[in-house]
Amino acid sequence: MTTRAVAAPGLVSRAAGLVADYVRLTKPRVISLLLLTTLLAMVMAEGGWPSGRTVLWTMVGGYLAAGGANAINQWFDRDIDARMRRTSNRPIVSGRIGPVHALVYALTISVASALILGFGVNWLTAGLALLGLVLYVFLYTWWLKRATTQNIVIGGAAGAVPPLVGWAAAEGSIGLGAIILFAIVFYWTPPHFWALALLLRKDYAEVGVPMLPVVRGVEETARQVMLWTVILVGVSLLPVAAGISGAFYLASAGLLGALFLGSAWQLMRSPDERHARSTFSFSMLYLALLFAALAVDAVL
Amino acid sequence: MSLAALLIAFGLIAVGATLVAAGDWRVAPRGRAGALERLWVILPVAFLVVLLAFSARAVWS
Repeated sequence: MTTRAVAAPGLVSRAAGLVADYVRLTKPRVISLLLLTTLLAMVMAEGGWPSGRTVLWTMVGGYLAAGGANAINQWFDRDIDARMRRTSNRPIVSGRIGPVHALVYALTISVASALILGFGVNWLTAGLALLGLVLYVFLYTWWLKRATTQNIVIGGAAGAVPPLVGWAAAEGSIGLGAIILFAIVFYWTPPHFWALALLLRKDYAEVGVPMLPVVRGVEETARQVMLWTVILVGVSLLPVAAGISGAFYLASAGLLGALFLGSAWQLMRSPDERHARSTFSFSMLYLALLFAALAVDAVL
Repeated sequence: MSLAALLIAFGLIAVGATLVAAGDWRVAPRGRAGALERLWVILPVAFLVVLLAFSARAVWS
């Protein structure tokens, strides 16, 4: 057996590992929910399934924009990521990808996303995706994350941009419907993220990030999760008030809202890890099903 | 149905936003140092007011 024949499998597995790390740098699991809101916003705006070509370019461009933002976030936060258990195995802090390589990669896929969305869909969509990236990198990561307990409230605007992207891709403009979808994700973010922050509060405290549970305690955070869920459920009814959605969506939003409120209530009464975890998990299901209901209602 | 949804939304938003804003405003630092903190409290509430106003206009148009 030659040396080359032995070395080849090792080389292939190293290359596969590197590719996997570059994919991991984009946080694909986080992006999947964002892309779902984008896709369902497209269906809602179109009143049916949009053209395959528009869906394809919007999904690819949307993934690259969000992935670029996530990679820049990991490049910027590499100092604290290295000291947090949850993030200490990320590709940059573990040394598998160099910081400069990560930043060049992040900027490259960000520019690629703008070009793909601009030429493949329309320039409003490209501009909105770029806006989401700028909000996430500069407003949340660079400015607010380490400065205020309101970091996730205001910075949450970045994560609320994907439905605007989807709406603009399908319709070429954004109106009240798109703004309401943005608002749903915007007001969903605090209860969703603070439920997670309750689970990670020791990590955040150790690196000095002023997440709400670190600064104002577990009980107050659980109370805020409850109050923001009340606001969210109110906002989730606005598509019906604005005449954009009908009875099917109203029933779905009512049921999902009642379940989310129930979960948040349990968390407020017993702010322990079990209830924080179940509220966090349900919040993701809530958003996915709520957007699915919006899309189904638009098609009916 | 639109009017009922608007009224329920208004009630939920008013209760939730008032309690959140009052609590956050109380703990915001005093003076100039707290100006930005207060802005972060005001912005989401202002956005809710705008959302309700546009939705109300849609109900009555």
